[in-house]
Amino acid sequence: MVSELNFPICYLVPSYLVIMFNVVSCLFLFSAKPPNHTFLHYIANGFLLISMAGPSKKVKLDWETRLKVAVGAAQGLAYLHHDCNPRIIHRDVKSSNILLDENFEAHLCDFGIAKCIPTTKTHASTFVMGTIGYIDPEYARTSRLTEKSDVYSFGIVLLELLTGKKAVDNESNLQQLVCISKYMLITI
Amino acid sequence: MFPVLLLFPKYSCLVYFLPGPPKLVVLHMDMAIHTFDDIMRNTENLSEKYIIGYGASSTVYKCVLKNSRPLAIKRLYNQYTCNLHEFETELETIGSIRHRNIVSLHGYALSPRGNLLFYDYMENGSLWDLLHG
Repeated sequence: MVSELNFPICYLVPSYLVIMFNVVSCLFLFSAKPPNHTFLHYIANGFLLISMAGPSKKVKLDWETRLKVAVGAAQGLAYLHHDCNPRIIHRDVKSSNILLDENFEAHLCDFGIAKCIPTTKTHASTFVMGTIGYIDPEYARTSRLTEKSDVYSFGIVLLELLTGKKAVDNESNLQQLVCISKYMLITI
Repeated sequence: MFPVLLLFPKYSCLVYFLPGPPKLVVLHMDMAIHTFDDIMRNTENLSEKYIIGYGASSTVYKCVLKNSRPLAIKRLYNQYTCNLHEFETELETIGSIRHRNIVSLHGYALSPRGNLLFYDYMENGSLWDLLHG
């Protein structure tokens, strides 16, 4: 199984976690096809944090394509946040608002609830809008909108790409993963 | 005529004033310029056959035109005022920007059937469909 770890993401993820949490050692078992992989995050004190075994279904996206989609969406967001004047906050970044063309290039769409913030302001106070599962909890609590809210939603999309799980599901939400990571950061 | 004050500053566009309703189409395509009538004919007046997706406040249709790439048409329902706001927000934001990772808005129309927005059609659908569909 280990010999199949030939894609950079396999190395990126454990090293990221090791840097972040220092005490976490991770064991990743990948099969060659993305949705069939098994994630085992193993922590030094013997506590098995999470285990996800993706159901075996038809493979539509390989790792390279997933990375390409993630990079494309990030570049689109970066353009909205840093190159537009006034800067644009999308407010509804989610996997169903990322469209893929014939070359699997990501295109952000659905700007119906987007918000323009002038460069002179650091944030905007608004009615909280977005999609359950993707909405930034800090924004939901304070109604203060900044580009960071989009970055949180994009993070959920990244987790979706990585785990193959839905942001909101009956069994588990991806937000739980974020909460667990945050809790660990505090405790360390 | 409906007064339309929104502009597309970064690229040229053509405004068509047609007799009788529907009132207005602004379209700029790379290969051909089409009128509202062309689009309605090709989609059989936005027939159910051409629906490719639903949103909370809109329906999306696919339209294949001659000598041009296919279009996705988003129809926002007219009866809610928040939808007018959504329409304006879309025009204010993606009406004036262009990036390879942001879907391009090619035009819009105000019609009695709803306010229409014209985008590039995306062959592979949404990321959600590919991951979970």
